[in-house]
Amino acid sequence: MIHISSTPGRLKIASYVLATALLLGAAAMAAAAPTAQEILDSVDVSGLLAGSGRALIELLVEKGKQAKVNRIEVYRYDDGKGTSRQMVEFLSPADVKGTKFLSIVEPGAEDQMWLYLPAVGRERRIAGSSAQGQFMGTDFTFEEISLNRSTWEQYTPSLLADRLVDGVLCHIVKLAPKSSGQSYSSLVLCVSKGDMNPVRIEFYGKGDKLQKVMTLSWDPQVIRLENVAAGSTTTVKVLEYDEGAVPDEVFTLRYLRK
Amino acid sequence: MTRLAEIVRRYPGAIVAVTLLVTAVCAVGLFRLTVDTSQRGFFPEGSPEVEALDRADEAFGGSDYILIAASSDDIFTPHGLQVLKDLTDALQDAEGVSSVMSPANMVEVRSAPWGLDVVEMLGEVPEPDDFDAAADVRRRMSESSMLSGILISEDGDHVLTLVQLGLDVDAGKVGGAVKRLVDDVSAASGLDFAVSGAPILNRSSEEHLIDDALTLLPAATAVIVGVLLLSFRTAAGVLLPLTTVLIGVVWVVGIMGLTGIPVNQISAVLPVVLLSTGSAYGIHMMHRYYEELHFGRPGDARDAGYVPVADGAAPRAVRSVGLAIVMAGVTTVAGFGSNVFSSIARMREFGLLAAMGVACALLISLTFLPAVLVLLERRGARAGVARAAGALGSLGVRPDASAGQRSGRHTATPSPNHNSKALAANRTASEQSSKLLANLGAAVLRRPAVVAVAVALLVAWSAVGLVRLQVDSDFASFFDARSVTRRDFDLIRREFGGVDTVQIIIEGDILEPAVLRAMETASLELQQVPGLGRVFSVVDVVKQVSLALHDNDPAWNRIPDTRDEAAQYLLLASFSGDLGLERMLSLDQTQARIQVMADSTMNAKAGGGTLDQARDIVGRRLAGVPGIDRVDITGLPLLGEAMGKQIVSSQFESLALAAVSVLAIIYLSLGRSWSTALCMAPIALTVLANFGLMGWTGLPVNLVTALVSSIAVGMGIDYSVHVYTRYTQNLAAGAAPRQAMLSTIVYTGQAVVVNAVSVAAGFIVTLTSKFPPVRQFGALISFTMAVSALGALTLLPVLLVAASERSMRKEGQP
Repeated sequence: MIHISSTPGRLKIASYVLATALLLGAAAMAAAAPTAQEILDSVDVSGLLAGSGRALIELLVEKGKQAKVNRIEVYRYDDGKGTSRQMVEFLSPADVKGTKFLSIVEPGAEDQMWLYLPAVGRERRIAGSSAQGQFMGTDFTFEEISLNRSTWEQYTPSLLADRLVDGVLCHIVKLAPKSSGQSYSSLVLCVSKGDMNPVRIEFYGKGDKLQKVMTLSWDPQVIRLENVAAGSTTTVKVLEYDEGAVPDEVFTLRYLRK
Repeated sequence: MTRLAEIVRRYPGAIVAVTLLVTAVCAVGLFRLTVDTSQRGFFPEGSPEVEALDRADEAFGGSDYILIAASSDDIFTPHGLQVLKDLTDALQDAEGVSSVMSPANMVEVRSAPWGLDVVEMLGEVPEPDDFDAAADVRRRMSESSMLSGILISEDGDHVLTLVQLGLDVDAGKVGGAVKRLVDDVSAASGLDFAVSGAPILNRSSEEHLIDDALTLLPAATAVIVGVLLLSFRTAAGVLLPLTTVLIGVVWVVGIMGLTGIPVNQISAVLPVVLLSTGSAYGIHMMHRYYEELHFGRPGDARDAGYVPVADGAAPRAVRSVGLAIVMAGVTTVAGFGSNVFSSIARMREFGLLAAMGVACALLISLTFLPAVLVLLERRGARAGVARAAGALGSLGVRPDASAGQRSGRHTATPSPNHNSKALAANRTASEQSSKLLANLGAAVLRRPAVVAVAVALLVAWSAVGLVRLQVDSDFASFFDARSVTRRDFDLIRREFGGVDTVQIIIEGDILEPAVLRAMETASLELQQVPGLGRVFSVVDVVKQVSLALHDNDPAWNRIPDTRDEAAQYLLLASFSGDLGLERMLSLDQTQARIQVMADSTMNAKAGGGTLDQARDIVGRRLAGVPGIDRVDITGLPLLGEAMGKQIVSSQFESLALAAVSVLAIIYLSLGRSWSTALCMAPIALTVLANFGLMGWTGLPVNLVTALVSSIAVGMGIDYSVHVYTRYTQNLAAGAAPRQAMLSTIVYTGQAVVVNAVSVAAGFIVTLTSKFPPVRQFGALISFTMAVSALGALTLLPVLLVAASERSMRKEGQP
């Protein structure tokens, strides 16, 4: 996705949203005949949800003939040592403009999430569990939006036969859960043999029923998640990104109320 | 008919070959038959209610729900809660299921001391021995406004799980899978669950339909074989008419398979209907054939040294009885066919298929059956005169000693009417019934006033019954009151205010406070209507978020004052998909759905009052509110109501159509005399008596029983036609009216009674059907056959004789 870099501390804002994108990573390039684990390892996820910067993102949810579009601005700071701060602000549609979420994660402290609704005029702290469902009312769950190395660590990879995915020849890695209790019965990861970028991830539920298909493209940076079961699709489009440092004052309750 | 007889005589081989070829092609269709017992197929197409429901389905996902209820005492234990949680998870993963709402997965937005929380109401399942914790869960859930009255019954005694099916899934199939899943969980856990909802009813219907197919067809076949045995007592007499009608069944059912018309609850009785009605044509043909066989050419029978003359008997039978069979068949086709203009697809389909089936049986009886007889005759002829009797034996004229003797006796004292072996065997019985009929005829003609009084009494009785007539469009009536399906349906209906929902679809700027407030007012009023249960809509979610955002201050249990506020509340709610927002508000926030639990049986009892009140509330509270562009009210209860109205209107339309076309047919074919109209009198009486009986016995007009009256017109007219024809023939032969009628009643009466009894016997097997309306249908058809036969032998004679005598007086004759 968005300029993934292996250097900690650098901006990876959009990556927060487009989490999976980070799979690709700059690290190890494929050897001639890599194993499933090697392919997985070659996808750098070390910077996932880390990094700092700003991104302007469009969220498009479609179902049947209906659609809704939200624009959000995401600010992020990550020190690479477990502390991360993030501010999400809704820019459109007009009736929710100014709605903000602030989340602060610090080692040894309880996660904090704050919500500001301009029409109510004051901030409210909300429980972390409030955010367990769908991400910002899209088809993405928080788990899907933040797929990372620790996600992969819960699965055992195995290599399937190469195949063409949307015209791109790919390594196909099947991920089977190591223990019960995972959301999915398996994932299938399609990684381009050319640039080792993941181009598609298939999510299978019980009975090997295909539940969701995530398609990733890089220019422009777009992730599309098709929710097969619900018949809806969410497209996440990164309109702008900026790797510059975000001032600390953005991650404060004062800014939330502003 | 002469031409047809000639074709049969010339090309019997070709006719048999073509018939068998067509049958083979149609037989392929038998293997492609599909079943569709869904409720949707019963609803009038293109009605506003159906269109609104389709739109709602598209905007909010499928509107088919499966409801699973259990006792609270069972569920609110550590074990029960774990079972419910596992069941909920399993249902969520089931194929074709779009969402599951159960106390085990419901979440609520809640105000916590430190802020706002969205929590699963169940949380952790209590430890196996922690009954206090389970009791605490019960208390919390019973107090929750999100659950009480929706997923927990008002009295707190039952717990409901709502399973929403996806769009465009096979509801019956998903219903079957869910039922099996619940049954497995029930068997493993020892807990009882009641399962209902439209998909479950579909599934049960399919199972019953297959049961019916396996029992009704063999039973009807057995009855027909019995009737044929009684009539002919010969292998050919039984096999040929039976084969004829079975071929007709294969054609029609095969065509259904080939053209992709699925079998449903009504068309499942088609084979039985065809066996009972269609076998009559083969019976007529065989009777006449045997007569021709023994008469030989005109005069032959009186020749000394009588031998059965087979040559040309079948074509002669076609020539002589063909027209009568066509008449009987065409009026029956008109009776069934009069339903093809019904606005209810299933009734139209049945009318068309039954009409087609009768026409096929008619065609086969007039072509294939005599062609086979011709071929058998020729085989006999080739075998030589010496073996002719042997060949005839295969046709049922067994050359045994007694037959020979009887032939001999008949040669000595020629008595053409009694030459048929079958008739001879039945002679005693026949003489007895002749005597009965003669007594009846004499009595009827001597005391027409008694007939008039009896008819008047029957009319009066029927008229009173008519007032009590009820219309039933309730899908649940397709199930026995004591069946598991019905028991579960009734439990859920009682505890949760119905298994169906009335849906109010609002289009416009939903988030406008004026719109939300109008929805709130409408919801509160709807909830008060008897027959309607809990109401849920996006209003509940908005109020819930408002309350939670304001520290549970009851003053904030209200609709916000600004549009932005509502939008922001809903944005927050949308982050938690489990609140079920997508079932209440479309993605683009331009359509909202108010769902009202509804007991459709209640509406029927209230004479439609429940839905009228709902429509009134929608009209007063929602229509015309600024911000609302359009509002529709729909849902299965409304579709059922619309169907009920359509049943009544198509009932009268098809009845009128059947009467007019039957009258036209008999007028044109019976000599274009106005007195043919008198033949309609017994039919009018029959139709009236049918409705009278339904009114008195509480049998409702439903999809199936609505078919009875027009079918009765088409079939019952045959008896009147027989009587009328014989009577005018006797008059033409110079008999006085009373004498002509007396001999008509004695001779034709027998045929009428036999026919009525055999049709009634054929239909009576439907009494073993698993579908109560099908049983009612069979009983009513049997009843109408009895009334129309009796009418043709009492009322019609009185009218015809009176008419003849009146016209004679006018003409100055004594």
